[in-house]
Amino acid sequence: MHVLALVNQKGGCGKTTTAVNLAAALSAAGERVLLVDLDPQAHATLALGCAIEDEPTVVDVLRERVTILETVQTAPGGVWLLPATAQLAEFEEEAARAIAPERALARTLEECRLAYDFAVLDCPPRTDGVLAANALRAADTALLVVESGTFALQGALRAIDVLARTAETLDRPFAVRAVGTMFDRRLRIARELLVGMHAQLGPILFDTAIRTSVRLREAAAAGVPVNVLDPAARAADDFRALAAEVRNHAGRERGAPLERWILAQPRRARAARRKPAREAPPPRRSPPRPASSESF
Amino acid sequence: MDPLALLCNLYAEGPSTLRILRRAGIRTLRNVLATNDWALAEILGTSPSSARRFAREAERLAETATARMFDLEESGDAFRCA
Repeated sequence: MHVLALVNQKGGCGKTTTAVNLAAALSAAGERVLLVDLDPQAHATLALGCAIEDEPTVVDVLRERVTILETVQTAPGGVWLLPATAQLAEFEEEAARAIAPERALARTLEECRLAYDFAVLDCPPRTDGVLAANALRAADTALLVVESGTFALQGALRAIDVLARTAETLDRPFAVRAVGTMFDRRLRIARELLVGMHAQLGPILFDTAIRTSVRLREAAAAGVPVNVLDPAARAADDFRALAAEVRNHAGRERGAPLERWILAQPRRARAARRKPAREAPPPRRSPPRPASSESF
Repeated sequence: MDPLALLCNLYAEGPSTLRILRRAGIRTLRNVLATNDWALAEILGTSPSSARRFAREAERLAETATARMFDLEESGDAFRCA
């Protein structure tokens, strides 16, 4: 299972829209996808038309009262949803009294590692809380969602810096990738920003920029992903292309070590690389001969 | 982001144009510049004048990208592997 955490400190940059539609596009490509709503605003849950009453939610999973497999719901677009409610905000408060609360999600995801190919984590709009810490600790890739608006590039560079520093404190490395959202090529500012993102972020930026689309808003209002509402929409095409890139990236990550651009590595691993090569170990002694009549 | 993808996002239909170009064997900005307007128009399904405009933007982007790479090499201010 490849765990993809969609992050940005900024709200309204398209994290939830990207999480929901990317999850559905991955599912349409034949992957088994778990979408985890880690935002107390529960927008991903609402965007998939799920109404939660007394059912367990992600907060119960984080409190380790239930497992993920007992909590997931099937959602439109062939996605398994781990829903959230506003109760999730309470977990942030409880975390102050808990032991290692930032490890809860990684632990529970480990239990269902074989059940899914991808876990898409929709994070809250901050990187310093315990929910974001849970997401980053569990993540194989932190996908930075960058809207094509004013100051977005500065925000993205700052966010990458924060992610790299966060990764320094973790035992588990994660790669950082970025995707541009809300791109409108008719606007000069958006074009200039995309050129700037290309110059500054280079290979960590996915080839696909998600364009603004009325269909995306309509899909969220209808409680379905855009590929269910209108598979021929250009927004659906954008997410298909992004899903193909994500699958390619995840495949490479599984096969190759995480040794690429802006790659977060734990401090220990880096220090080990810098150490001079050790002296060759002494030659191993040959094992004692088995006692037999022919030994002499 | 691949420079050809950037061109398609900025001046065409994004991933669908990128797919069409790659399928036709056009994988870099240089390839776009090396293709004549009529052939490019046929590949993209547009008029030769639109194809010419697309190629002109490719040329401009290639120049900017080359200048930028030169600047980065000069200042040593490129992202490096952590």
